[in-house]
Amino acid sequence: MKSIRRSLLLYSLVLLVLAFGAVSALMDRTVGQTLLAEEQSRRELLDAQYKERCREENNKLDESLLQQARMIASVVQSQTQWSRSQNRRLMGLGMLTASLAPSGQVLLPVWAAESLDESLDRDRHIGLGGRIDWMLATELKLPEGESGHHDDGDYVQIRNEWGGSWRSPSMAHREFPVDTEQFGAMKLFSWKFDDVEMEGTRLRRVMLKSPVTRFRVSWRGFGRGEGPREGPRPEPGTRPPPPRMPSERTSPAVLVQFAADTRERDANLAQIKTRFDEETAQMHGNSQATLAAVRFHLLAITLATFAVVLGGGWWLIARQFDPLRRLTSAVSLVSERNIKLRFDEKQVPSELEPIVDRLKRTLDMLERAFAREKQALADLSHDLRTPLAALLTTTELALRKPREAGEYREFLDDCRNAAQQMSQLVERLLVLARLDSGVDRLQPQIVDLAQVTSRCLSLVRPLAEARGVRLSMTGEGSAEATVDADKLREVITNLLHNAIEYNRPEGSIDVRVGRCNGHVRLEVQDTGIGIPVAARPHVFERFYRADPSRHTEGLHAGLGLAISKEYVERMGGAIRFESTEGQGTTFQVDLPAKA
Amino acid sequence: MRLLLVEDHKPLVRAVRQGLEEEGFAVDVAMDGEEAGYKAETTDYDVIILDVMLPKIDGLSLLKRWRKKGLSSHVILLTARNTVEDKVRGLDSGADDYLTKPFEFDELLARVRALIRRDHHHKSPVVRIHDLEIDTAGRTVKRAGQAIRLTPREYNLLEYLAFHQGQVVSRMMIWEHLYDEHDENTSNVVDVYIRYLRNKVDKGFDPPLILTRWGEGYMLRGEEE
Repeated sequence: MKSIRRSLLLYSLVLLVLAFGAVSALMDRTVGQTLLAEEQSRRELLDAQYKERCREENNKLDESLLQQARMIASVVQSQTQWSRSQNRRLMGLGMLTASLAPSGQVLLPVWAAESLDESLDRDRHIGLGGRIDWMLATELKLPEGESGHHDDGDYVQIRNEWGGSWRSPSMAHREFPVDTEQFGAMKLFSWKFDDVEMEGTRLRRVMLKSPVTRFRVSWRGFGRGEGPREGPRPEPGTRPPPPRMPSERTSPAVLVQFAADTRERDANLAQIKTRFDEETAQMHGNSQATLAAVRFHLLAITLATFAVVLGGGWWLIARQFDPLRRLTSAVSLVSERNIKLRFDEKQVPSELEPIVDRLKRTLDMLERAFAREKQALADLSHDLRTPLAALLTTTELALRKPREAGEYREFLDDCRNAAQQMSQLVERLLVLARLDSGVDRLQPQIVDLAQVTSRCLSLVRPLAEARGVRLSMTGEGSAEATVDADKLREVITNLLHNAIEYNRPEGSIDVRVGRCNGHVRLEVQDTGIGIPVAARPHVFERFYRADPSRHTEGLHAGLGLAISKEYVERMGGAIRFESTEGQGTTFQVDLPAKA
Repeated sequence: MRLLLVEDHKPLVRAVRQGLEEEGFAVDVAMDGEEAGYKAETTDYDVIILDVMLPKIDGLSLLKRWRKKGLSSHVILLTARNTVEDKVRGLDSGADDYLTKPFEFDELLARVRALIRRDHHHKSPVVRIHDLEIDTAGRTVKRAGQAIRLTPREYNLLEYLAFHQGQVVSRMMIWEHLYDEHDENTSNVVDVYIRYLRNKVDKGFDPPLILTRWGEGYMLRGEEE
């Protein structure tokens, strides 16, 4: 992506998405789990509540049933009428089923009579026959007015041990099944609950075993009496003795069965259930809503953060890139006239520091290069203009007034010298121009370095001798190289001229030619003034002169070494020097040996 | 008038010096900054022609040094540098004038003379004393309307006296200002030339303008007398 800003934003947004995604997922799961756990516990609570309420409801019914059963049990009467037994006996024992009479009297089934056991016998101290008579003669009865203990919707059935029973009118002809063994096994005052169905209606039934506390024995024809009902009246003033608990031995027991239809209870239960369901649903709905709210918030936060990051990031990044922009404008202010980079160092962010530093250094380098070129140009213009001025003034002078032939000759001589000087300079400039533009082409040939060198030496010998400098050359055999011959000659001549010019009077120049692992080597050693340390890095630069005064001889104008270096390097070689100030300099040229 | 030419390019030196001498100036030469410094500080030159690019000491630094020391000689800078900056720098360093190479010799002459005139508060090229008229630009002399022909040396001497009109100039001064270092110092060269001058300028005219002050020197009669 081309724009740093855009890619930065994009990547940070991607990272943000990932981060937020992870966080959101995590949060969602955590919240979900928490809500789920909470819901779970609440559900359990509701469940327990529901069960409790159901139980309560059931208990309510059961309690009411029991209470009513108890009430009835407390008022049930057992009436024995001997006269009746006689009548019954007459009716015969073949009657098995009960027949209903409005008053609820029923004939005892035979098996009831037969199931009489000895315990009864023991308790009652009544003979067996008497017992049957007793049974036949006994009937259960609720006193008038006491029937109000039950409603029309309730079903009551009272049963005594030997089958005598009483039923409420609502029972009609129906009968509750009774497990007499169970009945017998039950303890007094104990009760049992169960559910029965009667002709499609579901009923809840309580079976209470209770002692008959009221029984009446009437002897029609034999007299009347009341059985023991209560204990002896307590004496006034004393605490009444605790009432004697009737036990099975002392009084007969009955099984009171009280049943009521469960419609109301069921309705209530249904209501409870509905409530439970509602509450459950509501709770679930709440937790779902909470979850949804959490999710919504997460989304909202994510989006908001996105927007903030996008907008804020855009702006912030723009601001952070401000130094870059300032750098750009600072750079665009750099011109030829003003090469300095005007940029406040303190405001540079660390990332840009290397760039700014390098820029400054590069610009400094350029500035120095420009300054050098400028200086070189100034020097050059001086070097051309001065001989030109001499030429001009000489000719003006010559023409100023009539002169003698000898004078004219002198003047013309001077003109020629000046012209020559200028010509040399122009030549060198042209060489450089040609090299720069690439017009100059090297023509490599196989040359013997030793031969070429000795020829150059002989050419410069007069010049050396004029200055009193001794020239000598040493070399071992031939040293053949593949180079451009003309250029080579120029290089050698230049080095020799330098050696002569910068030499001491009565000094010497040693020239050595030899071979050196794959190269041929030329060394020119002089006993001259040496090259000052400060000048050494610049020796091969164009127009550079260690001593600016040395233009008077007009031989080099500071270009000789620059051209030599250019030539040598184009021929595939290298040029270097060693120098000691006050003692001398040695220039060394390596060229590739003949391939 | 005595001039110092500071230039290291021999052919140019030869040409300029010869030209100036033919115009009657006494010309000393220095080929490097050191020599120039020495000569300038020991001799009182009327004008110093100074090349900026010199070996050993740069011309401008030399100039600044002179001005700091209080050297009041006029200086014309001669240089190959012709940009405005260079001219400004040169003039700011204390030069009185600036001439770029290559130059017309006549221009150099005219500028040198202008500087000399300035010295003597003669803005106009024509100097008039009594009935003597000296055209310093054309280097002609008239007295009472009559043209007088003088050799360059004679003219220089007259001009020198005229520039110092009303003041006594000693032989020494005359010698210093009219003759360069190479001329032999014979004490009566001055006297001889005074006599030559008198012959041409005073003879047949009244009042005598070239006066002798015994023991002191010579003087050109001033206007008041």
